[in-house]
Amino acid sequence: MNSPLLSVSKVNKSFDGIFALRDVNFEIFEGECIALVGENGAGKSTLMKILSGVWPVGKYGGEVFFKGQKLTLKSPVEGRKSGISIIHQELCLFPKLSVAENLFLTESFPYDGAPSNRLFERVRWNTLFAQAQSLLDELGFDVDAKAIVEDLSVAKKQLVEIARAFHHKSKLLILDEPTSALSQVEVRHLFQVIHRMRGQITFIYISHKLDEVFELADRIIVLRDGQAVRSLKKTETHPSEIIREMVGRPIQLSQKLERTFEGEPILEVKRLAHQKENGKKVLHDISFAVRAGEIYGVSGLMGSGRSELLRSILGIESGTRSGVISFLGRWVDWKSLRQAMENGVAFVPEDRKKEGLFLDHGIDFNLTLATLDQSLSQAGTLNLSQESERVTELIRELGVKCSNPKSPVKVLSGGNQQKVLLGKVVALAPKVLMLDEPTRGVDVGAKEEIYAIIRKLAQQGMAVILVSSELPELLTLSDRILVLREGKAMGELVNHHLTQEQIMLLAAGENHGSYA
Amino acid sequence: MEAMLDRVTVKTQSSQIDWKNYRREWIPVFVIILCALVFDAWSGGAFITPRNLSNLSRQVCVNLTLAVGMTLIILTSGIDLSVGSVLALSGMAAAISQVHWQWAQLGMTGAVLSFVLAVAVGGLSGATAGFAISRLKITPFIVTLGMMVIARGLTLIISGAQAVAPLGESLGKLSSDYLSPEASLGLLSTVGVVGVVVAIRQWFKKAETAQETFKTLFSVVALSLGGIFIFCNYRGIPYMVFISVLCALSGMFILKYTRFGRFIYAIGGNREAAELSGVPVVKTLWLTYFLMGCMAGLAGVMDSARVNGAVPSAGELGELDAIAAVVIGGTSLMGGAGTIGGTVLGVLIMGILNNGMSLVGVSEHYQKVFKGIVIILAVYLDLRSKKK
Repeated sequence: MNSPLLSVSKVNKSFDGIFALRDVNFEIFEGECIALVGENGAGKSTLMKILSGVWPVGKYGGEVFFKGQKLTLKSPVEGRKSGISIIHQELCLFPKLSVAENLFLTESFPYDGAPSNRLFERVRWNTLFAQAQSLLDELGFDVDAKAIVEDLSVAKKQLVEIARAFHHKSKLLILDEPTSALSQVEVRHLFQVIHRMRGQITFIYISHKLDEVFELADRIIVLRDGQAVRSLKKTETHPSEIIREMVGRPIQLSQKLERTFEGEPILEVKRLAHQKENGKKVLHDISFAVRAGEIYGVSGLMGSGRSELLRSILGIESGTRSGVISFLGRWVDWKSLRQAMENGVAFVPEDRKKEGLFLDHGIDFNLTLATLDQSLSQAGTLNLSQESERVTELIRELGVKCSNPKSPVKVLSGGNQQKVLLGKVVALAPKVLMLDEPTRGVDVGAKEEIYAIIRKLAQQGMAVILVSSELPELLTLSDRILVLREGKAMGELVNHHLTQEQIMLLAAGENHGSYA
Repeated sequence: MEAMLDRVTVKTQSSQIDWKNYRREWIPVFVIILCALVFDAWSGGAFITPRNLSNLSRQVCVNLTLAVGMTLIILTSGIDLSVGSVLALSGMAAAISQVHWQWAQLGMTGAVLSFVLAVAVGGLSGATAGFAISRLKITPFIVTLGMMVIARGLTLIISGAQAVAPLGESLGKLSSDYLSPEASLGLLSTVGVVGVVVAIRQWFKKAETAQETFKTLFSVVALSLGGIFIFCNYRGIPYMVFISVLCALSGMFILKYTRFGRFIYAIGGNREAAELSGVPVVKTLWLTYFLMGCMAGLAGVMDSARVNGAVPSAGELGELDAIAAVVIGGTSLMGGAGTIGGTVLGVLIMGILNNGMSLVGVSEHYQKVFKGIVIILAVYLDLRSKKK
């Protein structure tokens, strides 16, 4: 126990001059179970990418020592062989293959005799299944080696990944938010597995959920703004201290004016619940109402149902919805985004590259696509000069920095891309604007500009529903904040001298209030 | 300061990309000129003659009509493998109406009716495929593969596997008649002058960039002068050329000046984003396949008119010629990027190769091999120029 298993020394990583990690130092000893906590953007995933070889050696500053030797990974493949295994939220399994093949595929199959890397070696299926089953039994996992992976539950898929890491003789196993897709029973089972395996293997457990962290970890390392700010023994700390460390000093924010809104709500949701096709309930019994001019924040950890709430209201989340939605006092049952848009609701999706923008097409194309009917001539054809005037106006209004409105959106910075995305729906002049993570991957300066746009839209009388994982953002913009946890509404807070800790306690606490 | 920096970088990036695209768009033009000169030298001056080029223009009409529709389809990131068979089916329907139903005796009325019948048959096949693709969400490849076999089978059934000929005189005129050379001269010079004036006016109104204007000017002048050289020296503009050029112009208009055209680009560019932007994806796709069917019907009646009858094997591999022309013209098979203008150039390249190789006496079997190589090479070169 004298020399550390993993030692991270002065690790730096920056993207375009912005530090994602800044002089991170910590050590982990063999057999420990470490929890790594931090807000979104604190640098957890960047650190994991360094440890797994996604960012190869030389692409980051500082040094990482593993088992006393300097880690010089050149690719994720080398990372997997190094003895560090990472189990990502998105599992890396071959869904159409059996459990046994998944366990042994990345190396050589068991053949008669010695393992071989020859391409056309005959596979001994019986040996393969028997070895896989004995590995699973030895670990005490209730998984059938012959089962096809896609038929398994998420929890069992995780066990397969853990078994694979174990089979690869991993010394260090990193679990990235493993419980976000598990039921309570499955979480208990996973914890039993971790408890049983600790000592044989060293764990890094990444999670937002403090109750889990306090149950599992020996030591808690807090990352904040790319720095490892504290390393605390579990026995010497308590959740509210961790929350304080994660959030940091109270950030000086433009103080939110307290406003009250009267009159009929524009959008009202009563007892909304949503069940996916596989039977998993993602939303339970959620009710709220939004009025004109109001910015209504929705907060919650990853997997709490933030995005699902918007998508369920709009009728674009798969599965079935129950509950009542009324828009301008009338019952509505939107089945597609088009219907909602025709009623006067606009939506800015979370993943702008995948769901929002046409990257190869021009700024003008993107800005006017949703509102082409506004630039029609009398003959029903597009009036291109009128369209280009609208584009110029929108670009000026939103402050998109570009030299030519025809240049493809992909050459713009993240902030400017996001402005284009906002501009597209602003042109619709909706009554309700739903924003899902409007400043993801946007630098600080552009964030302020986007906040100004959102505030202006609300002042013009739009009701804005803002889903965000960034608490400072919610606190500067929202009038009220709904906090979700595991699909349930944990409380609705009026943003009056509200602090990040108050929201975090609702979002992360098992039985809220008890950690305060 | 930061804002200014941002502006500068964006500017250099975008002008680089424009220049690259610009250069790429001109490559097919040079290929066409080069091929023409090579074939002319090889055949001892028999290629660049009004008579041969007029023939060439009639040979490419069917493929141009198909390729225009195919451009729309491929822009949505779809594919239509059934166009060759649908061409045969609708051409056969027109021929049967002329011969067996004796619409030929109705003269001009009968010709128009047969023409409409062919387009309707094509449109119906397209709409059926479009329904399966847009509503039932089956992949275009499979749906149109099935439709290809179905339409070929139906052609054999309704014709009894026999050729049906001859068509009435009026329908035959579609292929054999020409606009008089004088009228052609008037038309082509009017189009040339009007085109130049409009292009320059657009440029003054700053509706188009200088590069875009130069491209338009070049095309208008090249087409009208080339047209005058070819058609006024040999019989005039063939009706078929007239129809298929009209098709291409409508395609260009649809893509540039209608919401439908914008939606086509949007669906091919990013289908998920299109749906979340309120683009009526199902309707747009359905309409696109319907239009493709109509164009295949039109091509069918043109093809029948050209040989003055219909054979069950008409249009075999027609889909591949159309797809090849679209791809050579620079339209991405992934969808979202491409133009009808490029497709026209692609059709011309394919046509020049066919005509030129026949002219210098390359056997049809070798022609096939050579055409295949050209298609692969064209796409490879396009891919490389995009990567750089």
